[in-house]
Amino acid sequence: MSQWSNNNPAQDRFHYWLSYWNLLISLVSRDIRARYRRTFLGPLWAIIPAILATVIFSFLSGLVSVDTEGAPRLAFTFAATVPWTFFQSTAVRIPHGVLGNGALLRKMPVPRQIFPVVVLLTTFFDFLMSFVVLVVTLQLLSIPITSAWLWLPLLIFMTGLLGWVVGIGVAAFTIYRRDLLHGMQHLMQVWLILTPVIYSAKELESGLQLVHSLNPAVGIIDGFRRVLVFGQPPDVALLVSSMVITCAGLAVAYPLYRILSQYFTDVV
Amino acid sequence: MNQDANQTVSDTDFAIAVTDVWKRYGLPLRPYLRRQFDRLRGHDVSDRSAYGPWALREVSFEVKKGESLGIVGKNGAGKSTLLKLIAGVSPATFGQVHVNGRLFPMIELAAGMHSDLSGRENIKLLGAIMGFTPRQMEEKIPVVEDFAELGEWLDKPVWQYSSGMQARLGFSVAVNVDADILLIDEVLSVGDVNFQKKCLNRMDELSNSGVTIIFVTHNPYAIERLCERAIYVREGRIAASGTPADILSAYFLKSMDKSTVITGTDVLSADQREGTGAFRVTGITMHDVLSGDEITAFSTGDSVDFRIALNVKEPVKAYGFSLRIVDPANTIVSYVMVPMSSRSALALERDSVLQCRIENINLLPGQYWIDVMARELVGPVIDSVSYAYSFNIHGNLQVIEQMGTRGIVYLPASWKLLEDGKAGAVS
Repeated sequence: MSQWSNNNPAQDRFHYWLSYWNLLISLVSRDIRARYRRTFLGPLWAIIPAILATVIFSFLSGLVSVDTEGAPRLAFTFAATVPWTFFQSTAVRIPHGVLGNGALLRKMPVPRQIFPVVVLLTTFFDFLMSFVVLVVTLQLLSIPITSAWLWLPLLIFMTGLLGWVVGIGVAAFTIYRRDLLHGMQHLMQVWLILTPVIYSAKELESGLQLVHSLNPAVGIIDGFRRVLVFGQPPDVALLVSSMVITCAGLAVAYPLYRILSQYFTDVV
Repeated sequence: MNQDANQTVSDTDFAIAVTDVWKRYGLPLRPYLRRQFDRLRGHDVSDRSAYGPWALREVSFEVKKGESLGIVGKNGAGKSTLLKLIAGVSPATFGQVHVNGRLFPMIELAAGMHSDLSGRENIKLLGAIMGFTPRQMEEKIPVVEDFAELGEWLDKPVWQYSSGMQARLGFSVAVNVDADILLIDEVLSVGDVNFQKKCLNRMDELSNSGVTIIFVTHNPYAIERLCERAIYVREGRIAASGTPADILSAYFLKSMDKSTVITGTDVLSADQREGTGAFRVTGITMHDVLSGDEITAFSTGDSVDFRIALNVKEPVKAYGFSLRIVDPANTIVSYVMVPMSSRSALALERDSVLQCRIENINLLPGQYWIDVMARELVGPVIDSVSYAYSFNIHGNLQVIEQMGTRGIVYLPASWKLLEDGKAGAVS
């Protein structure tokens, strides 16, 4: 069938990846700098979403008297909201990020796989900022840092991966039809309700057993909360099921994105 | 994956090889299913054309390293699609595109710029897209900035730029980042004359230093000046390929609307023409100066008589009359007008034939058109016919030897070698 090849003698394999690495860094720094350029609050916007969400969720959680298992309500909600915001903004922003770079994609031979990674890195930047605020808050509430925090790198990785998989899946479909792009916000609201962010995972376990075991976000969000607030290790069984489901999603979404994104310039 | 293909082609010295490329926009699934369905029903599915619409079909060509190729064609003919395929931003439906070297596509202006970032930041970004490391870009940035002549604007965000300034920035990057292959799509039309000149000069330089240039434009003289070869794309196919001069005349002949060419007696029936109609041009013929025989063609350097038949409705004492000679590229190559001194001798009372003798028409071989215009000395147009007459000029050996087919006019020239030291200031 069709092929486009560029055999540039000056570019061996190493330089090829190196040039993509440089491009990745340039695009991430472009997005981080450009995003807040015409704003009053500037980089504060990196942490505002997570903080606002925490305020709202704490209010809701207090309103319906959610059982926080003895933890301060603010810590209980904040610890879940920060990773949730990371996951959600990654998933939502990837399709927009791909579409938003349409002008670039239409004119420059840029690898299409790079844009979801760019979005992931910028949302990760936001996550790190919010995470610092979270840690400071936990200290103020005198919640200790324990050895359970060693689970955090894995949890953060799984959050990013899940958001990335959902993001490229939606982006791939968006190249074909725009429905998911419009429905994304609503989808994420439903997902939020089915995830123990406002309430505790125990209530989901006793109420909606199926969702509890099939929603890959449950193990991750609950894991963050256990580690950060209660100093306990996460529920490993839940994490494994989350990992399996995420990888299954990856196996579908990535090839789909790879194939469909070639036609990106044809249909956008 | 393409290892074998790369091996075989890297031996040759081509920069771009396009082999039997077909392009259909949109996702390929539906046409594929339609074709499979037809196959199941026992239809003949060997004809690809039925599974279109095709933006490009059966396109094959090669561009050698260091060659500069012009692409002409009407809007929608497939020029930009072709560039996108070469640039690798859009996949070919069938066929292969091989690119050999570092490529910089300038498809539309402001290629790949981010409007919230400053000009300088955008230069770095474009460099990164081109695959340069930040350190490599450090060396190039001053050159690019110099070339762009944007001054303090470089620190302002690109959304504040005019389209001309965006083009300046994009173009400055394109011609200063050591690309092996430049794709340039109709970007020279923006920007002021000086910058255009600078760009053309720079592209000449690049072309001479071995950079391959693919150039899409509607400006025929830019192609003639810059390109060694041209292709004419029509309805998604390569309609012709050859020297720029040949291709441009093929293009303009095709794109000229035939119905506007009124020759001989056609003029009689044209009542809808503009003008007061005090008299009307009813026909034009061309005659040999010596014999007076009617001719339709002559050779470069010959003299001819144009006889313009006029149907006079009311006497006109003095009027302005002009013939405009137009070449296939729609450029006015010459203009002949009745001089003030002869006006009184040409007063019209009844139907007459006006003769205009033009001596030594030193135009290059090719087809030309004549526009006729008559007007009152002060005031309105009497009659005006565009493409009223068409004639051919044949080349003679002398002309071809002297200048090939380049340029517009033939200037008879002779050459000789002077003794040493007599050439004056030329050293």
